[in-house]
Amino acid sequence: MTDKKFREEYNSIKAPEELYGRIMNSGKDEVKSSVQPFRKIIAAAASFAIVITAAVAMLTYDGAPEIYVGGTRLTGEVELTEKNNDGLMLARAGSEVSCEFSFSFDRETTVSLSDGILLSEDGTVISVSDEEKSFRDALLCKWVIGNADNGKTYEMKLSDGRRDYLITLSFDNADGQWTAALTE
Amino acid sequence: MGRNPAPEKDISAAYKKYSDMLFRIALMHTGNENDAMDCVQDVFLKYMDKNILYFSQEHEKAWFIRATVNRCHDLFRKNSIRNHGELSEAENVSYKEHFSEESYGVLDALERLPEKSRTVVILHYLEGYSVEETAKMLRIGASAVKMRLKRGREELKSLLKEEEFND
Repeated sequence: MTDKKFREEYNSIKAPEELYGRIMNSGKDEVKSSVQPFRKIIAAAASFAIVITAAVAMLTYDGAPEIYVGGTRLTGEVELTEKNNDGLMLARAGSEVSCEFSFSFDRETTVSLSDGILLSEDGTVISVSDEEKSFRDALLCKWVIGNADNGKTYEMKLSDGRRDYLITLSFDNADGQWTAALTE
Repeated sequence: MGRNPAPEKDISAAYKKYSDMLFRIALMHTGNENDAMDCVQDVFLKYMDKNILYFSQEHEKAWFIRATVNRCHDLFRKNSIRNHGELSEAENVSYKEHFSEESYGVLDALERLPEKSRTVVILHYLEGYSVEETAKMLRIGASAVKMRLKRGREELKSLLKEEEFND
C-alpha cells in the first residue's frame, strides 16, 4: 500500500521533547480541565434528566384503563353522543341502545353492568347485567341495552382494585340524544 | 496541587515506551503537531488518573493506542465543527514537515480517508499490527478491520491515481 520511503519517514517521527515536560509539569491540570469538566457536566446532566424523567413517569402514571368509544377516547371531560360518535348509537327499531367500546387495561379489571349485555366482536355474549367479569389487557366489545328507557341512566362499573370507574349511558332530553360519560 | 499517580505506574517508563508511537498515530489523525501533542498529553494524564490494572504490557499498549485514537476522533469532531470541515493552512504545515515532498500524495490521500478506515490503515500498514491485534485494540471484530482495510486500500488507490492524473 504505502511505499518504503513513506514508512521510513513515518517511523522516524519522534515525539517533540517539550511533550514530556508538558505532561509532567504543573501545566497539565489546565489542559485536562478543557476535557474532563465538560464530560462530567454532560454525565451529570444526563443522570439528572434520567432521574427527573423516571420521577415524572412514576408520578403521572395512574394505570387508568384506556376507554375508547368508536375510536374516540372517553375521558371525564368529554361526553360522547350519537351525533359526535359513530360507536354510540340508538337502534331506533325497538329502542335498543348500543355502544362500542375498546378497553385497554393495565391490570386485572372487573366489569359489571346495571343493564344489558356485553357482546364480543363476533357477537357472543361476554357478560350480562349484575354479573362481574374480569379482564386483562385489551377488550373490544359492544354494550347493548334492549328496550332502553329514556329516563334512566345505565351504568357500567370498572374496578381495578385500586380505583373504580363508572361509565354512564343516559338520554339527554335537551339534545334529544344518548350520551356516554366517564366518572372516576 | 500536584497529581498523585498510582505508585505502580512509572510514567517516565511509559512515556519512553509509547510516546513516539502515540505521537505518530496522533499526528496522522490530527494533521498537525500541536493537536497531536494535546492528544498524547491528554492520554497520559488519563493514564495517571485512571486506576486501571493492566494485565500485561500488551494490554497497556492497547489501552494507550485506543485512548489516543479516541481522543483524536474527539478532537477531529471538535475541529470539524469549529472549522466547518476544513483545517487551516497553518494547522496543516507542521504535519507535512515530517515528510519529503514525494510523500505528500500519500499523506493527502490518507487525510481524505474516512476516519475509521484511516485508523486501521495507520495501525496495520504503518505501525505494523496484525488484523487481530488491530481488532483487539479498537475493540471491534476482525472482519470489521478487514472490511475497513479493504475499503481504505481501494480508496487510497483511487485517490492516488487521481493525484497522479492531476499532477
